[in-house]
Amino acid sequence: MSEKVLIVASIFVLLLVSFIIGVASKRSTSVQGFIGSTKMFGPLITGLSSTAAMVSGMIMVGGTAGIYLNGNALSLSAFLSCCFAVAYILIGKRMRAIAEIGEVTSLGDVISLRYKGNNIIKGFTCAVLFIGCFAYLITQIAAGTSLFSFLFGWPPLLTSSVVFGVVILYVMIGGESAGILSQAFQGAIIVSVGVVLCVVFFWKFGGFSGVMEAVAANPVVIGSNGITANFSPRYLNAFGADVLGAKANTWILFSFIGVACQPATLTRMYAIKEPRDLPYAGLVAAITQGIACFSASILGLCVIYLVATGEINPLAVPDEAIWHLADYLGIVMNILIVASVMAAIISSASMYLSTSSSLLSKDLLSCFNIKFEDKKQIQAYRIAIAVLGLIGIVVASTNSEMVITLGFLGWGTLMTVNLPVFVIGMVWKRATQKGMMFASVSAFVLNIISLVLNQCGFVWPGGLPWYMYVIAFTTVSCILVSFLTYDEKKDRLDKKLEAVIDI
Amino acid sequence: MKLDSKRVDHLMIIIALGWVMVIAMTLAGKGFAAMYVSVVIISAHMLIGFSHNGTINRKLFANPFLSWLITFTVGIVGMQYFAFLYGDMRPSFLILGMHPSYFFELCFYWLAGILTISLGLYKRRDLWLSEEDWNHFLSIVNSEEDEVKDNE
Repeated sequence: MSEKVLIVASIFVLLLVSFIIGVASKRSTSVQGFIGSTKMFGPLITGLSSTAAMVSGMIMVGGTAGIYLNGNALSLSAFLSCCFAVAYILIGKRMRAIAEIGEVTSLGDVISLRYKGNNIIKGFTCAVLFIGCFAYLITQIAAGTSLFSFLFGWPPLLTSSVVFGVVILYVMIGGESAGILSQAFQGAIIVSVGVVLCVVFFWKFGGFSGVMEAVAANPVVIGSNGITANFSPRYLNAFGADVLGAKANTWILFSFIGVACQPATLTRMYAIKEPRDLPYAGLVAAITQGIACFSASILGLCVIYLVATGEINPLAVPDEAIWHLADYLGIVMNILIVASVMAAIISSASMYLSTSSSLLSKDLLSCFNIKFEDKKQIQAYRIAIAVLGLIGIVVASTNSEMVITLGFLGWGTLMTVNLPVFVIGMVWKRATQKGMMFASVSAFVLNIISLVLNQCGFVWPGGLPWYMYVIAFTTVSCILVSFLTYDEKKDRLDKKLEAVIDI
Repeated sequence: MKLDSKRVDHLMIIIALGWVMVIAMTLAGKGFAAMYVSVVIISAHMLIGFSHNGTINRKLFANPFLSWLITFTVGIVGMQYFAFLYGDMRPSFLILGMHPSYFFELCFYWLAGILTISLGLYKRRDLWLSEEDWNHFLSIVNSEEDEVKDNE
């Protein structure tokens, strides 16, 4: 049997098992259970699914390319293992507690409960979240499609329709719990392959010292393909090619505050059955994410080693670094790496598909007073999954410019609005509705302006990415406006909300 | 340790000022120094997160918070010191095969983070959220609901 057939077979086994888990996981017919999985899962599933949803194709494919190009500059962002526990410390028990004072099916419900049904905060926050999640979904589909195109030369639209059609189907049938349980399975695959990769790194490439010796001996490599690669021992320090500290600074806040701002973390906080199990979930996520991201970071170092020692030519397309490594390592590792990357891609895709669908079919519509009863709400959610999934497939397969444009959005976009509304609002009694309205509206407007500026080729000063400026603005403004507008009568919290914040 | 509403307000001001400083320092080419300001921002968030009814349990403050803060800061100092010391040169010594700067990242920034925060929180989960506190919270929520029903 040829290598390509085996790789395709492994991907379809992965999809088949995910599909079976997804379909079999349908646990609830209530809106809360079907769309939110509220109070349904234990710490192991919660931790594993958080890891899988967070370790996207971007970390595996883009991370390898990034480390090949810039050394360890990216590793500060990869090593965010303890940040799940940090997220639970920041707001975990409050997010779980708020599910006790009202019905929580989605992030929009949490906003409604916290800000007394303020539709402006809910509407603009959910709009930004929707844009961020949908952009993430499209980039995941595009990553999966490019994998097939690179390996087999298959037509993008057909490939993404088959692969992501399966994902759409099982999320439609099983709801959020299908996503969470299949993500736990996919997380287990990513971690298992990660362990094998670590062994290979030390056994075949001589570990860190092997890479250091190779780089020190061959700082400039001119390949037979005419491409030159420049390396330096600097690449192997903690900051790689980041000589200004701008990236390092971004990654620290990006990780330690940013994890608490991601829907993959926020929704799991109220999906956990027992709130006192959150630290256990944080520990599971730390260990599994640690293995997954450590292996993702050493993939890049392996490619540096191979190029520096002349085993492979310098890369014309750095984004293909991981596939060149997989090719070099032989059939078994090739299958494992492709399966792991595919697991990372579809786990994130299913998470962002279900989140963007609940945001659209429930939260955003409710801001316009369009509300459904239980059965119709589930129907609307399923229709949204199908529609958004199909749009995602078409855009990702046919419009590469749009994919690149949307690639600017994502983690940073989600932080611009969730940091003020959730991370600050859930712990600060003095956070006012006016402060949060200002933050959510400005996050919406500034994300769009930044997107346009990026399209026009605007270079943001200081080496900082655009979202750092927007996050700083929304965070500082929500605090400032809250101080200026606090009205004891209007903004005083009721007893239940006080109890949530005090817990 | 007390952390009443006023102190939370002060920490919010520190968070806001911290973000302004991080941006300003990075623009001024002091990105590495701004990493310490980032640590202050994260610490302020964590202290507020640890608070319960206006207080922080001393044991929780010591571990996970303080133990993380110390190891994390040591990590950043080591990462920066050895990165600046060797620049583009091969380091004169390696630790477990690693560039010393990367060793500090791996051991103090990453592994120590897991041990202090993730494992620390797990070990002290009863102090973080005791069964008694959770039940007390539920009793407040339920008593409110009962009052509403009675009024109806």
